[in-house]
Amino acid sequence: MNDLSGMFQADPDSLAHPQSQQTTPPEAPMAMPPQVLEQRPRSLGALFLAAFRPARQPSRGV
Amino acid sequence: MSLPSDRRVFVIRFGLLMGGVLIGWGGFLLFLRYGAADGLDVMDLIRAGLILISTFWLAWGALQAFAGLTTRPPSVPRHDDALTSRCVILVPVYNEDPAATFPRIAAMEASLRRTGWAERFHIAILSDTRDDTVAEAEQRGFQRLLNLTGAEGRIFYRRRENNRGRKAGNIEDFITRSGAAYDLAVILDADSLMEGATMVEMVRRMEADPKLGLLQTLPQIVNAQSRFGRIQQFAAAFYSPIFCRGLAMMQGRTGPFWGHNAIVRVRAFAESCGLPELSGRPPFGGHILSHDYVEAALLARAGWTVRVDDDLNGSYEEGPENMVLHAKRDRRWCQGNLQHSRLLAAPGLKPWSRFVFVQGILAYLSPVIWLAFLLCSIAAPVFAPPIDYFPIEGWRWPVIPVSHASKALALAFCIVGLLFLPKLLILLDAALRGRARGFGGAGAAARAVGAELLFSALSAPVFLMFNTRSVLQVIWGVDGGWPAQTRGDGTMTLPEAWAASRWIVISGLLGAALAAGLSPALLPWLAPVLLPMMAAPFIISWSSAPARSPLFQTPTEGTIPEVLLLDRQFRAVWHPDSKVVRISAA
Repeated sequence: MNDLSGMFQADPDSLAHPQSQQTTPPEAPMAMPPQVLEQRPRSLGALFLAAFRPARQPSRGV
Repeated sequence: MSLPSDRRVFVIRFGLLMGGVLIGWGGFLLFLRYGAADGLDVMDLIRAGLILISTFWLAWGALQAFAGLTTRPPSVPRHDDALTSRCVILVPVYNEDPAATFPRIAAMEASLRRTGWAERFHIAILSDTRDDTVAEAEQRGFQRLLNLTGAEGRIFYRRRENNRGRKAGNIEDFITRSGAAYDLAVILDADSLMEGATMVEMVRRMEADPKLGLLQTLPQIVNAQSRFGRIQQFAAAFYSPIFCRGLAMMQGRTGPFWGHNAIVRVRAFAESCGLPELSGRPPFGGHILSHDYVEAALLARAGWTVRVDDDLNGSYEEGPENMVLHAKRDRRWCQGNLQHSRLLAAPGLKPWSRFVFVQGILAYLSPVIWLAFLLCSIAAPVFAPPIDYFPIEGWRWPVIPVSHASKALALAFCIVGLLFLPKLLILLDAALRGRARGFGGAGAAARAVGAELLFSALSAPVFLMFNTRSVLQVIWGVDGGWPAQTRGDGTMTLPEAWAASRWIVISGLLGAALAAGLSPALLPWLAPVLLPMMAAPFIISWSSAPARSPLFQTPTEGTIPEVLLLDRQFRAVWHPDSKVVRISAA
């Protein structure tokens, strides 16, 4: 059984605590370009070959 | 054992696929020989073709289970050093009750604090809620959440002005506004729960493997109350880990994403997973509904590894409490999976990603194929040529055709075997390896498996009809929209169940009348399908009632996980009248 002692510590001051911290996620834009999923092949051959086109490699590590 | 090489993964995939094809082909030949007894006609060929696809699909599922029983999870790259990544936990909400959702967030935050790594994690509640009353409750709930956790500055809330792109658009909106602040993002659903230790372990694995773009866990269903919910909960806990192990054997670098209870590398996700709107109108055009499969395919296309680690525990979700809610959710998934037919030829996707789309499509077409087979069988006598008792010219004695019913019986036996054998083998494996202890012991697990198989047999025809309706609606262009998930009690009275399923009862009666008129000899064969259809309201109502039996025990009920206990504690004090005003994980 988990020990839950100490989980509930009444802190009467918390409600009076000013909400000075940011409440919305930080502004840090990052591009998210829409991907191509519907490139229409000109022929059945191109349609078949599309499945074997090599994939891009990761642009960088972590 | 380390992760299998690409070559080994190819061999496993090829071997299992060929196994499925061979079993399907065996079913095809067996049926042809049965049909040829009185002369082959067009209906025999159609039915044999339907049997080929259906048997392949069943065999494919069964082979995954057999594969899962033969291996253990490999060791994967991880580290034990200090976490260095900036992580965010994303909780998209959409008209859900904050009194249910926000205590879960508090529980996960407290669980994270117990790991000592909470400071590396932020939590962002991403609201797409359209209902102003619910939105106001979310605002109040957010303040309550901060008051209870004291996590100001680490838990955020934002509500979108419009919900373009639905859940995928919600995540995308976060990444385009705030993505650069984080390295890793844990993506959850409103009903998800994850142990802090599990999230920390996922971060360790992501940090140890720079090419890993997405790591999926296998969530277990928890908090089920109804009979149906508990059966689903048991099945998910007892069978799914084995099926998932089989899936993991075949995944290579192109594993699955199920939309939640997973962690992604933010930069990889941003680079690869911006979803376009498909040309045309819903259900096949417009926003991509089942975005998760597509995102997994796009990450793999860009060269990132996508992986499910089936050894990761501490990942939970809730499930629908009755068959109608389950069918409603399936309606959405059905539309999403059939929409993937538009993406089969998308440029640059890995072949396995395309096959995953095909699998999703087949999962929803398979019941329709079974129904088509049954209807063709009922209609077959109309197309059958008259029996020729004098097939040999000049021979004066009649030739009585030899019955090949034994072949039909053999085929039926094989199909039932493909359905039941994997589950029975999983039971045997659980009993031998001791995994059954978590389910109340081998005896209790065996009783639960027996009851689950019985309920599956009874409910399958009802789901077959719901599934068929969903497929036909999508094909006819009916968009299912984006209904909010309904969880909770789920009890349905008999009149409510009748209202939801009377069309199934009528279909069952019509099917019986048709069979009685055209193929009376088929009636005993059709009874296991037609009788549950006629009894659909009773099955739905009975299974929606609260479960009182201890049957279907799962490990999370025997030893309640920490985060579930925390969730219960937070729920208990959630109401603002509660005397507790602050909870700390000290």
